Amino acid sequence: MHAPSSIEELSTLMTALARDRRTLAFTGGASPLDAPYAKPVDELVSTSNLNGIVEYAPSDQVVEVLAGTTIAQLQSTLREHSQRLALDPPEPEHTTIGGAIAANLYGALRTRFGTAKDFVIGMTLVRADGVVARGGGKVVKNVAGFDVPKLMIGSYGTLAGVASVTLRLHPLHQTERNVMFDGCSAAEVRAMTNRLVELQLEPAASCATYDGQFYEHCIRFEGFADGVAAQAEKLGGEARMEIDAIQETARTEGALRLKISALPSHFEAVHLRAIVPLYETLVKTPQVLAYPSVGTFFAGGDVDDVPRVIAAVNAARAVVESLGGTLVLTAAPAAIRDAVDPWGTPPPAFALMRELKSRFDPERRLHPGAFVGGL
Amino acid sequence: MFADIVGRENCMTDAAALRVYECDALTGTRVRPAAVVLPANTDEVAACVKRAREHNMAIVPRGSGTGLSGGALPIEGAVVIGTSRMRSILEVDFENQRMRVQPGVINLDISRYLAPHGYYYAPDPSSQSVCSIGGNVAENSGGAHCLKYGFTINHVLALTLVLASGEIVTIGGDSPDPLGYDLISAVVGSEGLLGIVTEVTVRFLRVPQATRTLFATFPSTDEAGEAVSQIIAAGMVPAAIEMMDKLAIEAIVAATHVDWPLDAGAALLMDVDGTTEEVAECADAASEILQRCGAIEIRRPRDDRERQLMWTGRKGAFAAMGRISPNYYVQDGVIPRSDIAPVLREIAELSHESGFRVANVFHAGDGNLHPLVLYDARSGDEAQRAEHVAAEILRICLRHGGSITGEHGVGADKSAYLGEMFGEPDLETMHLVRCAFDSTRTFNPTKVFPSPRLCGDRVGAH
Repeated sequence: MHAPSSIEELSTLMTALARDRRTLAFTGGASPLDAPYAKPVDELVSTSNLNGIVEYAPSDQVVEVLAGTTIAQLQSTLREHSQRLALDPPEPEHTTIGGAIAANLYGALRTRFGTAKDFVIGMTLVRADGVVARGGGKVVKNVAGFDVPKLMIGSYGTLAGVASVTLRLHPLHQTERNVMFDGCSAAEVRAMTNRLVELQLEPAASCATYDGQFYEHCIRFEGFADGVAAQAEKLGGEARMEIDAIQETARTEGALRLKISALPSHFEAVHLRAIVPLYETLVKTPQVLAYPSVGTFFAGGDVDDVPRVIAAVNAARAVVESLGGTLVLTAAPAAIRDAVDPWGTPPPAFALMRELKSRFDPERRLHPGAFVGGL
Repeated sequence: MFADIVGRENCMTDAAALRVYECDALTGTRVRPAAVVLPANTDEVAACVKRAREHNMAIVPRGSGTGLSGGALPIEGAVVIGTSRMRSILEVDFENQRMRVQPGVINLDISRYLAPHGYYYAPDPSSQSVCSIGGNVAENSGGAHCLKYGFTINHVLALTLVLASGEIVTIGGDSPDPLGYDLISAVVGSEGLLGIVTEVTVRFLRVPQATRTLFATFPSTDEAGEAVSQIIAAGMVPAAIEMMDKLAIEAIVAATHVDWPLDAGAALLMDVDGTTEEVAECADAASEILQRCGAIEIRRPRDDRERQLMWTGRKGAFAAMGRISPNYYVQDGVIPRSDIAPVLREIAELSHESGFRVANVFHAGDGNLHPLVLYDARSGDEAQRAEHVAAEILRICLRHGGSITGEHGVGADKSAYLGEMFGEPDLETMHLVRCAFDSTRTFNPTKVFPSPRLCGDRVGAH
């Protein structure tokens, strides 16, 4: 495992690996080789030593950070200045900013703040040939040249190595309040999601966990004290103070984990036709977490009957894809990995994606075969 | 050559008809194209693209032609494919807050369509009453309210695109996490170099419970700039904070019916929106900061009509320059938002040294300056010298760690400066994206990149 400690070292390493025609995969906090999409590579390049803040301008609410910095490490620095990155992927202690960007990870705050695409304003990357290239800048508004940085988001390290990222930040809110609704059916979760819009409320997060029978729907408001109180009251429900009212175990526990993404209006359809059958197939208290305003479900659990789980995953994927959505495996035992494509049916613009890959990585050395459609 | 595809009346080749299309809103440069075609739908666009390729013609895509960087400036011998006939709203999905439209749909018409239902489309470039959504996609347009709501890139969910081969592809889609590379991020802001967008699916937003507008005047831009920095530092995210200096106020007052005081050195126009209580708290806190920073006067519009008037004044600022100068050159630099006061002082010095008046009207909240260099084209080489002053302003922005364009694009106008902001490896990497989409360089071939480049070389090919 290589662990360069500067952008220059990463560039030197990548140049050498290009010369020797070695294939490689990047790793942040977790090993990409544990991921269901992993393919064998010659070399692993870790960003663990490529960490720390390069430049932080609190008055501009902009920070440049090296890719191997963990989300928690970044947030703790930002907190000192009453700011934050409004991106909350699970396991912030282990998740690196580079990893979060490579996999386009997000948490419940996506409800209001969006995804990495809404925060990344600049990037330094190291190309397959070892050349260091910059894109974007360090100002929040900038349309100079093509937005190469945004193209790296969600590309799983198959186009280039992300060395540093410049992000726009948000001020830390004064106060927050979670409003809980227990015993909800899927229809009620969807109705509540629509109600939030109808009432012109602006929740920071909306998430629902499923216990096999009902959803517990948690809606979080953030902002000034009066505003938060007024929004929470308007909605009714039971106020709970605990910070970790949002249970994310569906995203971190279980041998099989997957993510379903579809239009929010398909909430009940996805629930009934994909989530319930999966829930009944997984063992050891399966977990389900949804962000209803976004349209994503995360499900996790253990596997005993492999063929049955494979059939359930394939059936769920068929349902979700027929609704225009996607089902991606984020963790899977080897027996399932061998039988189920982690990504699903390649999108209509796949030929263009293949062309992009071949321009950035013509020798197919950056985690070849790992991405959608074997990119 | 294209009449059989789009109909004779939608294909122009004679000099008189082509005249209208010789430039966009960068009016200083004019080039007559070989032809202008106005297709009605995706299939017609694809057929036009194929035909152009058969004749080895370059293609210049064009929306409403309101771009300020010459993105739609024709190229000699090229065909301009305009989207002005593609103005249909194709599909509206209220529950998922998305709609699919043709690229010629006017930005403001989207919000007008949505208004009775209580929704709106957030990106609001000053030209929103005439600019097209396809043009917005090409330029990644912003506007005053992108401070809180982001740019076009943050509101586009899917696109239909005609590639140089004439192939029609759809990118993005219904899934909130579309599979594969985020090609939307490649296309939005690519200034017509990657293909022609023929359908756009945008996300729209619920109208907020409340919007409160504040207008404050200051002795000079120093105090106004400081107020902006402090409002941002205090943890507020207003929907918009716009600044106008003395000269800009003078022009706006002359051109519109706003009754802004002419003796103020600077003015801020600010929108705070959100839930009622949140807005009240935020507006009070902002007022306090404005006061503390030395505001001469703080106004709150009496009603929505007055609010609209204030914003009409701001959005008409560029056109208003005609009242105080025969010609003006609009610049579009970006600086870190805490550097507003020092940068404005440097621009004032430059103005003083060069003898050109510079009016400043800009999106202060995100540091996006729009200095307007005033000149008289009839007088000797003033136009050229004014452009030189505008270029120096960009260099000031770059020295402060900023950008050469925040929302107007590089186009034909600024390609020479792109190399001052980015190094060769950076440009080469951007070019890889272009080659993946259009290796023939059929679309807008002379734009954005400072020097001609081929698509033959590939990274890492030894």
